[in-house]
Amino acid sequence: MNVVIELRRHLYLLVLFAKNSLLSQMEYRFNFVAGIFVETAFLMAKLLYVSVVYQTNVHVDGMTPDTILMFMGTHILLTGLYMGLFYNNFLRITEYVRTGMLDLMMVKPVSLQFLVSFRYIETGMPLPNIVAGSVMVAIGWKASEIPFTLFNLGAFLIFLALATILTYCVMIIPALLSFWFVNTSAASEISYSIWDANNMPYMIYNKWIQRIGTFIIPVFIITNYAPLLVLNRLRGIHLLWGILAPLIFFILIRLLWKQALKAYSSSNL
Amino acid sequence: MRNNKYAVSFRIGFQSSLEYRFNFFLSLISAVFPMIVHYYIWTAVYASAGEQQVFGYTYHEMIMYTILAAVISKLVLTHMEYAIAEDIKSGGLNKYIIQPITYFGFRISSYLGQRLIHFATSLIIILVLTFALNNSFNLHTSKERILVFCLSLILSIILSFLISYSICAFAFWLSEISYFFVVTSLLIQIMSGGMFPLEIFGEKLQLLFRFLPFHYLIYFPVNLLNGRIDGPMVWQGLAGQAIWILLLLVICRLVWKQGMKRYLGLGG
Repeated sequence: MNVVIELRRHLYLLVLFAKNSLLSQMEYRFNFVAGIFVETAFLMAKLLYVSVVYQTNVHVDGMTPDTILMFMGTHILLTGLYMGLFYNNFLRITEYVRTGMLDLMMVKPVSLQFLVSFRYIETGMPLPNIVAGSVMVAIGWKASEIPFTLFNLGAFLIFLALATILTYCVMIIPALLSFWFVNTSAASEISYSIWDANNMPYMIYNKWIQRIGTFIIPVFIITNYAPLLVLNRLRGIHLLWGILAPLIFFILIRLLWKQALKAYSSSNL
Repeated sequence: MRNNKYAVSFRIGFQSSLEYRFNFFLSLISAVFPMIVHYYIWTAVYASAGEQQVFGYTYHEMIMYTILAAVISKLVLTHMEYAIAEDIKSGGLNKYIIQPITYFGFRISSYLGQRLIHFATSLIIILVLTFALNNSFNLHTSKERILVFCLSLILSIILSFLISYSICAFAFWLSEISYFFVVTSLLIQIMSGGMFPLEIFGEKLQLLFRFLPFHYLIYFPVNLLNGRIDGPMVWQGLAGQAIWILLLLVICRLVWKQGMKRYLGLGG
C-alpha cells in the first residue's frame, strides 16, 4: 500500500514539475522557439545518416534500409525523451554540487535523487526529435511488414520505457562524477559522443564492441532491443537481459548516488 | 616594439592552451567515437554495395577521409564565438577600445598561440594515423603531399578564425546569440565536410558548397592528404584558401566597423 501511495505522490510531483517547467518556459517564449529550432538543426544532421543509408542501399545483417530506419527512428525518439526528461536536469547537477545549492534541496521532504533528476522537464526542445523519430519508426515498421497488433505495439512501448530507464542510468554518470571532480565537461562530451554513436543497428560493429555495448555500458540495448523485439529477432539471453538490465543498472546507479552523496562537501560559494 | 603586445597575446594564448591541455586531449578521445561509427558504417556500405567506389571514393580513401576529418575538425573548428559574443554583450570590448591594442590583433594572436600546441599534437596524430593507414592499406603518401597538407592546414586554421570572427559580429545585432552559434557551428561542420564527404549531398548542393569558404576547412586538406586532390587542383585549392582569407579579412573589417557603431558598452 505504501508503495502505491509513494508512487502516486511522485507521479503527482512529476506532473507538477512538468507544469511548472512549461510555465517558466512560456515566460521566455523566444528561448522556447529557439530551442526547437536548434534541435531541428541537430535532427537534420542526424538525418544525413538516413540519407547515406538510403543512397548507398546498405544492408546490415540482412536488414534493408527501411528496417534500419526503424533503429535510427528509435534512436532519435529516445534522444527526444532524453532531451526532454533528463538533459537539463543532469546539466544542473554539476552546478548544484559546485555551488552548494544541493544543501537546500536536501532538506525538502522528497527523495533527493528524484528531485534533482526531474525538476526541470523540457517540453519544446524534444518535440522535433519525438515527432521525427515516431514517424521514422512508423515508416520502418510498415515497410518491414511487422504486423501492427496490440501485442507488438505494447511490447515495443514497454521496451521503449525500459530503454528510457537505461538512458537515465547511462547518461547520469558524468553528472555524478561531479561529486568527486570539479570539471566533468570532458566526461559529458564523451557521453554525448557515445550516445550519438548509437544511431545504427549494433550489428555493424564487431563482436567485442557489441558485447561491451550490451553488457558493460548498455547503450546498444537502448536503441536496438525495441525494434529487434518486434522484428522477432530478440531471443533467449538477450530478451532476458533486455528486461533485467534496466533493473540491475538502476540499482547500481542508486548505490553510486549514495556513494556520491557521501563525497558531497557542501562547498557553498 | 609595436609587435611586442601581439607577441604577448600569442604567449597568453599558448599558456592558456597548456593550462587546459588535458581537456583538449579528452576532446580528442571524444572524436574517437564518431570515427569508430563511421568506420563501421562505411565498412558495411562497401561490403553490401559490392562496388569499388561509393560516392567516387574507394574504400581506403573513404576510411582515411573519415578518420582524418574527425581529427582535423577538432583542430580547425574554433568554438570561440561565445567568448567574443560575451565581450560584445557585457562590455568586455571597452578595455580594448581605450587600450593601444586592436581587438582583432589581440584575438588572432591569442588564438594562434592557443592553436600552436593543438596544431603540433594533431599533426603528430595525423601523421601517425596516415603512416598506419598507409601500412595497412599498402598506400604511399609522399613527403611533398604531407608538406602541402601542412600548409593547407595552417591556412584552414586562419580561415576558420576569420569565419568565426565575422559570424561573431552578429552579436552586435541579435539579442539572444548562443542558440544562433550552436546552429552556425553545426552548419559549418556539415558544409566543411566534417561529418561526411561533400559528395553525399549530390551535385547541385556540392556546386553551391564550392562557392563557399567552408569546404576549405576540412574537406580540402583531408582530400589533399588522401590523394584525391591532385595536380593543378592542389594549387588551385591553396589559392582558393588564400583568396578566401583575403576576402574574409575585408568582410571582418566591414561588419565589425558597422557593428561597432551599434556597440553599447554595457557593464564592462
